[in-house]
Amino acid sequence: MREVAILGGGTTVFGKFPEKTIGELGREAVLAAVSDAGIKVRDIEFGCCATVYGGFCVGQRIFKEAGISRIEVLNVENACASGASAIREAWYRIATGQCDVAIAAGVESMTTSPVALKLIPPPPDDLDGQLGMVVPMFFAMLMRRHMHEHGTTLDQIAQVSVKNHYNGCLNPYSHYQKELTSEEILESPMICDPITLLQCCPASDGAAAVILCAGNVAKRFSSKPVLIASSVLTSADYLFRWQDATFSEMSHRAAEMAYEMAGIGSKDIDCIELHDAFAICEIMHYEDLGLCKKGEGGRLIEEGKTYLNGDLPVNPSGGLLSKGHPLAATGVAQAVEIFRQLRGEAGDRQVHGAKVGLTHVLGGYVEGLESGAVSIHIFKR
Amino acid sequence: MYKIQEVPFREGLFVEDESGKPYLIGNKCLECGQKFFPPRPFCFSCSCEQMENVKLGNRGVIYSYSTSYSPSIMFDPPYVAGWIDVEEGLRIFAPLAVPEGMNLELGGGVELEISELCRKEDKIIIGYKYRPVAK
Repeated sequence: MREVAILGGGTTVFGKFPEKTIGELGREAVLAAVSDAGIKVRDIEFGCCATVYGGFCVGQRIFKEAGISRIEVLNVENACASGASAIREAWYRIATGQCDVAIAAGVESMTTSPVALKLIPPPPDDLDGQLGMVVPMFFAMLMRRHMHEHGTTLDQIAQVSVKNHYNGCLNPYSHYQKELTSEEILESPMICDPITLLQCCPASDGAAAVILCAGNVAKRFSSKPVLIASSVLTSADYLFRWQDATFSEMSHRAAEMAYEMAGIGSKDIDCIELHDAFAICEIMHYEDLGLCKKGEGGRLIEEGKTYLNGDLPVNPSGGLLSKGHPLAATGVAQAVEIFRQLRGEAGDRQVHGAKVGLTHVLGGYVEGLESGAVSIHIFKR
Repeated sequence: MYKIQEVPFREGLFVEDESGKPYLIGNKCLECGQKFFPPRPFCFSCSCEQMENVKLGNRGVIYSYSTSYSPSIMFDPPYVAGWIDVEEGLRIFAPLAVPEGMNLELGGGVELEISELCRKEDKIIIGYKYRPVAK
């Protein structure tokens, strides 16, 4: 396998933009990434694009808006892990020598999608979905069990949302730019008990793109490339083998693979962007990514370790909770954030001296499995 | 006289024995013994194709639960559902029928019942749910 670097990245602001088309959102992110990378669009040999609700040939639709045509384009879908899957595919093409320069993009317009403001009907073969399993219900059950088994408190869980909304205020690309208190979070409307509204990420519109390049040609374009030290994408195990639902087996397995591939451990990571679709998820992922022992995720945030000024800042961008969640753009935007952090270009939310960063994203609810997909990437400078 | 038709929300998932005791219909691998609900076409654990149907899930305990304040396709809010660890070793998601004023506890015992889930047009949709049992 060849070494692969990220040369540049860009995102739109995340938020509600019903007036913007998929093509407009995508173009903005693609052109920002191309400009950041210091390449010309004609240098791009392969494009991989992720969308969940954008329709067909979305890669071709956004790339042509940015002046890119006549190249191999692959469109991918892995629910919320779609964007990370696009990066993984572009990484794989370059790592195996198929091309030298590629683009990975993710785009979503939740406000104009066919499911906007609608109850999304479960597929007919989803027995649990027929009987009332909705996504917040799944995580509410994990949350209640985590509190029961490990003594995790509502206040610890609310602190995740407090922290990420604080960080979001420092990120000009964030959907929300408003600080929240624990009281506001816990007293917001109940969605699925014990999950309240402000423990949930918003559905956002937005796009993100990164330019990947073979390590041996990266220097031609940039003096500060960021290396991809590991790229992992895997699927979940069956629920009949998932005994401890307070611990994400798939995330843990993916993390072990990623650490081994990078030749490092969790203690070597300086900053993390992880899948905080609900506040409880962040606490669970502290544990399955090995940042603390099983059951001690609540204490990790309470001690302030994952705040911007802590030992290991998590979701400096504001995470899904504040930055927002345009499904397929999220995984790519996480990589853009870590890229900026490792280059020292993250402005007011800069993690000082960050050299190694990790992104983690889960995708999909699949009946009978823990989830659909999980992807982890480790980046280093 | 006009009679409202009762229909199961899905065929082949639940049954009552001779005494009227309700069960879910799952299946079991004859090679490794792994049980499944709903029934799977072959063993998802060892790939063996020799499977037999088994009745299961009459009793269990609550692993976790939640009350949803948004609708689902079957239920108006608020509705309660949970994961039940049934005696046969599987974890099954199902609606919970909670008597008024009763507090649910993780680990609390539940019993299966087959009853109305909702009404659609001129039909009563029948399915399974769990009801907490008094200690």
